[in-house]
Amino acid sequence: MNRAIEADLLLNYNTDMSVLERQRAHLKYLNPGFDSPLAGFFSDSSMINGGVIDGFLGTDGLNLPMIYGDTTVEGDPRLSISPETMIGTGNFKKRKFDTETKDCDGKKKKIMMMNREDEVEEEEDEKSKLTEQNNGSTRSIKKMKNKAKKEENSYSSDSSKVTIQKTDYIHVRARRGQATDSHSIAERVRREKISERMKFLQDLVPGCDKITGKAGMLDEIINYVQSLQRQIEFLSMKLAVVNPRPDFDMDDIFAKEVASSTPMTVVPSPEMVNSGYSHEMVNSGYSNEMVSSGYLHFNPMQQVDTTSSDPLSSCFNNGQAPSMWDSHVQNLYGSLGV
Amino acid sequence: MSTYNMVKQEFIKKWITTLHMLDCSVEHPLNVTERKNAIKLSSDIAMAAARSGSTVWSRALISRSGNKTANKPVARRILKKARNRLKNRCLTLRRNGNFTAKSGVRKRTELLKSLVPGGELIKNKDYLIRETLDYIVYLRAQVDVMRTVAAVDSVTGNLTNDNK
Repeated sequence: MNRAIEADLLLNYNTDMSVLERQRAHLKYLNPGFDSPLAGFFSDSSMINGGVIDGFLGTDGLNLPMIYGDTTVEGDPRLSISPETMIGTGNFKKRKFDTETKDCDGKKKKIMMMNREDEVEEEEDEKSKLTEQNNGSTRSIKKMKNKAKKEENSYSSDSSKVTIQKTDYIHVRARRGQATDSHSIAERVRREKISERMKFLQDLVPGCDKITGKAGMLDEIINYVQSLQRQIEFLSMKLAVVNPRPDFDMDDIFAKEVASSTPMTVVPSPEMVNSGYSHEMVNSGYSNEMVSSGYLHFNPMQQVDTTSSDPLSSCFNNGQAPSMWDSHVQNLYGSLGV
Repeated sequence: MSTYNMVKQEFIKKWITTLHMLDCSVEHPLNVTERKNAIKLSSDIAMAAARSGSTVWSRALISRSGNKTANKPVARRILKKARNRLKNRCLTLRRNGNFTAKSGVRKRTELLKSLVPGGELIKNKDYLIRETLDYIVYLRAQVDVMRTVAAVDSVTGNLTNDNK
């Protein structure tokens, strides 16, 4: 059954793909239990770090899909994520790194890493079988190990490095004119990973298109992270100045939402966020406590709003219904497990 | 874009809860910096909780600020000291960053490790970049949410001033 699955996987990779993507497919094939996209994103890392995913904080049911696995952004120029940036899932887009198509026939067959001598004959047989099926591919990865051996290797390694030798043996057929040393193959995989991440970062960090070197990219990233952190400091200071109490800002948001007077049109983005928020809450039916407590705010707001249009005074009046809000909050917070 | 909206929604929800938690259990801070620290702490916790678990930076952030919220009356004082410590560290490293601008990738990765919470624990460079990517997305969500909240608040502040 293993052979059938392997042949199936190899058939799917007839077009040119990088070593990286095949490795990922291999890892995914190794760990079929890692189905959630969040775990799939960190499939190799979590495996290396002891296989514990998401036991922390007791997730409240939200499995955030991979952040940069999303399709392209329509309206937001700052956050343009290209569709081929999925990590760790089965739907690969074929990216052309530096592959050129060569014939299989003229290639030399070299086996990069062998784990057992007794498997050589098996490999020869499989190779002959599979090369017939993969006539057009430039590279192919052979999964030669037994399943038990793979699992044992993957679970025993708990170092934080993602080198091929530590977790698994992947037999790579070398391309023409490239080094066939095992170390250089591993290096090439690492470099491909890093360059792929750099491309993600170019999408995320604005103004990174012109910079090609690693050092420059890192500079930009550092600057961006620092500027974001400084912005957060500044904004939190601003919020602290504006509000007499720290929890009043949310009440104000709800008040403004319910009041729906003209000032809301002045600031379009909070409207977008808030309407999206309530819309999503109703649609997904997610986290019912938040929905009910949000609506709790709405109702007393509407009663008060007829009398006075002052949001702050209405917030003061709303302070009479804090008990249910607090209990909901406690429930939700307890469910968070923090 | 829908993912990003979900991130922001998660963050808003968690932030509301943490703000209420912090506010209910401590006496109301009068100082502006105390309020700011409370807001920032709650938003940091909310951000890390929204990310919920499998990233290093979220766990490091939670552990960094978790002990502060355990003992609520003492939390404020501990919070101030911790904030000062972190700020000093960031300042010195920024100065070092200027000097090492020409020294290559290694120094920059060390600087990045100091910026991203929990970055020092990551040995592999591509892991670090992964964590940074994730952290940047959540930081940006945090900034967006805070900016809109501040805008709404400033608008309401203007309104109340006008009514008075």
